[in-house]
Amino acid sequence: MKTKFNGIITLLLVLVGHVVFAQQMTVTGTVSDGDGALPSASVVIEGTSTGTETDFDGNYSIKVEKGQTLIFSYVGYNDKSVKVGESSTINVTLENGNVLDELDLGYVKKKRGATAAGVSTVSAQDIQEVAQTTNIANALQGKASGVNVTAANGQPGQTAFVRIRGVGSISSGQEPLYIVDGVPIDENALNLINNSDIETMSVLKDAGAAAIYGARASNGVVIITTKGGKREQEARFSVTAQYGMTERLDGGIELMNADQKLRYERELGVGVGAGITTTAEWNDLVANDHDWRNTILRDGTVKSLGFNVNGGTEKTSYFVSLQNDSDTGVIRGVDGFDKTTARVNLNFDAKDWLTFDVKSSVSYTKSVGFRDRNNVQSPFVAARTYNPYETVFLEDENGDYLLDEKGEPRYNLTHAGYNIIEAIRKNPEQDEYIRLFGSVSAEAKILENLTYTPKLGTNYNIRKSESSMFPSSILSQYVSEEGKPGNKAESGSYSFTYNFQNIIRYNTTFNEKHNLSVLALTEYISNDFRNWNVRAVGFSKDDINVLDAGAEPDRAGGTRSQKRTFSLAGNVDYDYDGKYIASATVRRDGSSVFGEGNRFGTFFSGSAAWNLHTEDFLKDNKVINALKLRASYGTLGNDQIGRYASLGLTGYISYANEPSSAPGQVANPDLKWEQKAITDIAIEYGLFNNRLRGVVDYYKSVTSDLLLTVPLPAEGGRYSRVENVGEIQTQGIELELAGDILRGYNGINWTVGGNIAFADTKVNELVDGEPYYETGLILEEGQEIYTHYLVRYAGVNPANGHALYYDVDGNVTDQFSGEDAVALDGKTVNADFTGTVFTRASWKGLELSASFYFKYGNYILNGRKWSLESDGNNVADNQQLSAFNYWRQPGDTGVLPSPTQFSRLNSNQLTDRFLQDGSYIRLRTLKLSYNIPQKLVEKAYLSKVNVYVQGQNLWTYAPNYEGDPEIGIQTEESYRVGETRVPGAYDNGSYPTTRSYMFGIDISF
Amino acid sequence: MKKIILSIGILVSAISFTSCEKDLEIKPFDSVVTDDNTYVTKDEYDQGIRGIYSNMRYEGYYGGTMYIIPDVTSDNLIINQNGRQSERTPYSWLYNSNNTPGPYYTCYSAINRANTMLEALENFNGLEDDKNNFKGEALALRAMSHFDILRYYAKIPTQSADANQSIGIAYVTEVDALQTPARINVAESYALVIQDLKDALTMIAANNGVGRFNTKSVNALLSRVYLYAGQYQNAIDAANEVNDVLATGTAFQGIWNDTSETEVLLKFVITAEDNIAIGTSYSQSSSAGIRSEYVFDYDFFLEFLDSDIRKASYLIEGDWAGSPYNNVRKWYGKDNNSNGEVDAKAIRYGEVVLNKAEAYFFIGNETEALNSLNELRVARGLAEFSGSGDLLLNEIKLQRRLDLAFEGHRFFDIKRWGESIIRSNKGDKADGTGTPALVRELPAGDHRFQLPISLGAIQANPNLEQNPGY
Repeated sequence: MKTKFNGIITLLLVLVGHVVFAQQMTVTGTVSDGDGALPSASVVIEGTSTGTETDFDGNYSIKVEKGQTLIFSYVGYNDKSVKVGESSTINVTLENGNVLDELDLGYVKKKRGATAAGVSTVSAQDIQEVAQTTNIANALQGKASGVNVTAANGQPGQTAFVRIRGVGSISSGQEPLYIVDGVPIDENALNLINNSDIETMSVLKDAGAAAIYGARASNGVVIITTKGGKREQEARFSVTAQYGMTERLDGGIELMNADQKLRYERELGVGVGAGITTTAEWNDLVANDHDWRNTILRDGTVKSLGFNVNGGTEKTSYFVSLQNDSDTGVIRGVDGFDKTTARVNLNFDAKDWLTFDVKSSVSYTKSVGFRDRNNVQSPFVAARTYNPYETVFLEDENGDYLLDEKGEPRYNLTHAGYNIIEAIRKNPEQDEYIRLFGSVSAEAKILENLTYTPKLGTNYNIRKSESSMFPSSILSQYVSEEGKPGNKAESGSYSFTYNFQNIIRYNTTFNEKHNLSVLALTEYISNDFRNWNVRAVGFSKDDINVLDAGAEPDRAGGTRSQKRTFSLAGNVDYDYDGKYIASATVRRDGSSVFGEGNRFGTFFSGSAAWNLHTEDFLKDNKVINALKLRASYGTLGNDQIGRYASLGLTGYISYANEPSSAPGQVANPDLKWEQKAITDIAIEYGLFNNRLRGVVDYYKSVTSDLLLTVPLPAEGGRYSRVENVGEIQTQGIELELAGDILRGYNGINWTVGGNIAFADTKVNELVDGEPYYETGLILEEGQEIYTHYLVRYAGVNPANGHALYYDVDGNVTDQFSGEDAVALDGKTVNADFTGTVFTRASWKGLELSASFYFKYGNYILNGRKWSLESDGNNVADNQQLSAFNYWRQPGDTGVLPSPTQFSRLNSNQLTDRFLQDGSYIRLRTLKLSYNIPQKLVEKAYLSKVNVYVQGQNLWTYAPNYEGDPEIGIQTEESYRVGETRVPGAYDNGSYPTTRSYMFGIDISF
Repeated sequence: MKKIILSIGILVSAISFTSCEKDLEIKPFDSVVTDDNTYVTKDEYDQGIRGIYSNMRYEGYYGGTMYIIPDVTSDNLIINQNGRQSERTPYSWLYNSNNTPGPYYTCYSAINRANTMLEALENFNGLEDDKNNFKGEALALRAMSHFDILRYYAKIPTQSADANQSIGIAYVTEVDALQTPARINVAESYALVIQDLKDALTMIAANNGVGRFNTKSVNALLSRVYLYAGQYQNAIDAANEVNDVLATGTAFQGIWNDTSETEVLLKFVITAEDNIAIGTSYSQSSSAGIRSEYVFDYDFFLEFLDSDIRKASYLIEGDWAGSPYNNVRKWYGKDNNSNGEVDAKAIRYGEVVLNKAEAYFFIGNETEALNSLNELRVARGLAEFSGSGDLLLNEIKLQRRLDLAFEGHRFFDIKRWGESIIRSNKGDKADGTGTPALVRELPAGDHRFQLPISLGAIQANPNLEQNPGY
């Protein structure tokens, strides 16, 4: 070992010596963008890791050999290389790359100027502004116009609801198609990606861009491309580390304290408070006062550590990375989420006409679970349900803990009969995932202009879940069979997808100005999914809980399903001298989910663009430097429904542990593709040498043959089936604008920008014109989609304190009837507009960036408020302090209804009394970073050191919502059997959104 | 070389193209596509019949709510202030079409399964006896589910003078999942239930093992339906067809923890693997004690004499949160378990005897009424009763209440007698102290005796009429 090490040292010395004695010269110069100097621009000698950065005035100085090439680069600008000749001064002007950069359209890459596609891109830098542990779907929030992202909830590693351009579908999947390095990936498998491996993300929004993905693209396409190495570049190493904390956002809900709760009970004449007879007893209970939210929950810790190396030789390039991220989450005793990823990306020439590209990654994630249902088995529900005078452990009169046989304190079951802290400890759950991803493609240059690329992509997701019910746990006492305490359940799934593509491309230019490219492809995708579960019961000790230790196997189950699609597609792109661009795509897709005869759907698009700035009349315009008009029309499909949805099935169950069968799914042989037609018109512009740039985009999409789970008549006995019914339409305008307020002014660069997207989705047509209902919501012809459908609350009768309602005709009544529910015009789940404002400023090595996310005009049914201001219904549970404000005497106004204990009525109906405007604006990210000066860095033999602090969700303004307004799912399991709710429709307090503060350092060498 | 690659590529593309159409035709692994081959062998038909029973024991039906809702909505139970406060809405009769507690959907699902089998049985190629037996079971189950919807959602013929002509239910005999039938009137509905049961009797076997209908249990159900319909002589005749014995002593206690089958005419079997716990709607128990949702109403508790073997079988005293309660033991668990997993006893001979006693009384044969009543009283450890007229009727009603307590009868019994539900003003604790019921009366004739049909069902079937008052 030692000898080897010596060898390396010797080698290094020789190399250094070589450099020292070579024919060297010092080149100096300035890097600017035409407007001003570019500080911290990178200057690297091609094929080496030797380089420097410009100082604050854009000046640099570097030792090079004659004949070597210098590469100048700066974020947001196009690279420029200059060969070193005789001159020792090289001044470089870099061109802004925002308009000309390359777009990743999935099957092809195009210069932005040379395409008619409507695409938003998200850079690596954008992604790094959120914590490394953030799921990549969630990281998209506010990063691209028209892409509306709502975190499912605040659970670490949790994915998000990504909706591109409004609601595109109803029952069938609404999530976009994710393509990672050319391979489609399920949204829930996104945790396979290490955020810092991402080079770019492109969001394909219009039909012109997405049609090549035809069948599955109706909700838009998110294309994620991971990093690669650079040819002829020595290895560059970098290490990144991030550490921080998270705290929950509860929106400032004030619960009762012990004294208040006891008084409330006493006023209502029920519960502990009513039964107390002595002051001493009262004081004893008040002395127990604690906020269960702080007892059950805590602040979380976030940690990330990553390493990567990239580089290349003449014929190869590589990128290798390793990363570990963890987020404990905010539940005490639960170590939330841990993710480890490794990646090797390799690109090499096997022949001068044959290049292989290999992308492979593996990720391991572990999330420690908890039960997220809307009852006290959820830590979040428990935290607001348990009374502040109830203790965690049972105590005797002296306040000493009562002990069990093992000498451990006995948990207080509380009034709820369940102690969540005990459950977290004694009923642990965890999920582990291993996700393997690999793709190999070969690009063969068959002829000068013709390439053939076969590509095989595979994705294997393995889940292993375990949950234990310790024999000593309360839950075991409730549910276990006599003599068989405790249980251990294990379950898992295997999902294997492979994707085989064959792409032929032909590019040609004729008469110098006519550029034509033609692409033809076939694609076959097959998924095989299996799962299993087993359980054993009868355990002796809490900590011995492998299946073998159980006395009796208790349950075994599992199933399997498959899905396949096959597609053929062709695309023709033509442009005349970069001025006029036209493109046409057709794709024919077959999907196994549909019935015979309806499996294939044909989708197409056409788009055109005109680069006005290349025309003579604008060529020398001082103001306008880029101006493009583009328009597209096309159709896309959706097959995201149950795998065998068209078939009439008979399923197998059991009765008395013997096999039984029963009719299952109802056949629908006519089931076919849902279709979406999108029209899109946009203007892209750049003014004053691109100091001001932006996009204005108008679109209209019509989704027809909606795949809808239609409730069947109860009397038919079969609940529901999927049908193609109805049509919805979305219209919207998206504006993007960014301006460089300062460019190199006294060394300061300052950019401000933002985007805003207005979207309006309307229901055009439903089957037989009949409304379609989702719990608490209605879809009705001519109405906005997902309009809240509730009985209207008319306040409190000042005379007797009874709750009042409006009946269907608008008359006030004190009789509640579910049939008085009406569609509440304009109050829908969807926002009128969403958007972002961001700013980025840099000066010397300092950079400050911030982004705000806003959402306006959506309404949320606040189920948490419903349970916390329950008019006496939930008096046994803790209540919001505001519950005191109830009707007490005739004439009282502006109060809550008289509690049920007095009124003998159930006033606590779920009416629009609990419907609240969910508009908000939030400081989504704030980051301050500092590049340690190059001179210091070089002394440490490093090439770049960047330190930063950043925060997420630091400030929120939601004037009309009680609680945090970022509502995705309610709880993991639906709040009542058979009922699910549309994301964002209903808040019953699932995992809270968190605020985080982070410190990080990136080192390159 | 290049050309070889090209050729291979084109070949592969061509192969994947030609094989695609066939590749896209895939079938599920856990179900079969329903067709003429779904039911062929006798075993397969038998499995289809078992599928109907499987539906009967769902949690929303005989696996749970069927045994709590009719008691929670009557005067047998009082809510435990220290419980989880479940089923509060039906307890206070505050249901509406958004939160109706009945088994409407589950019943029609069972009916669909029965109709599916009746249709499939037309192609049965085995022994005629087997075919008839299967048909008999399917008809009996179809009748039972219709009858349950009927007593929940419509008036009962004896309830009021207008009942027979009032709105009944949709009686479904077709398999079609898309049908939108209208409700026929109560008299017509009962006639169809009775017809199905009579048809079943002509076909069903005398013994099908535990957990399945047979001649006896169909007759027993028929006696119940006739009693509801006010056809008392028919009720007596059907009851007389049921030759069985009443359980006494430990055999009676054994009914409730599934160690005895005596007197049980029909039960839906629930195994540990089913993960269905009827008893959790009553209570959960741990080392900290029994935590009941609902406990004995104190006045009702006092009706159980110490010599009555039902007292020890139905009641378990215990402390929770420092207070003693009269907890319901009936659905506690199998053997010595307390996890609430226990078979769903749907029809007992005790009920048949009580049906007979009541029917005899209403046709004016007090002697036979008294005989039947005393047959039951003696078996339960009580002395013979003597009395006539209202005294006798009240005793028959009382014994019915005591015997069938917590078995999903009380609400329907009060309803069919056209009486009001009146709860005591006693508290929830074992000695009658504690918090009394907030709402204590549902007056006879109130629309809430007929449960509302859920909004979803009304919306999905344009021909479906909602009950008055909702």
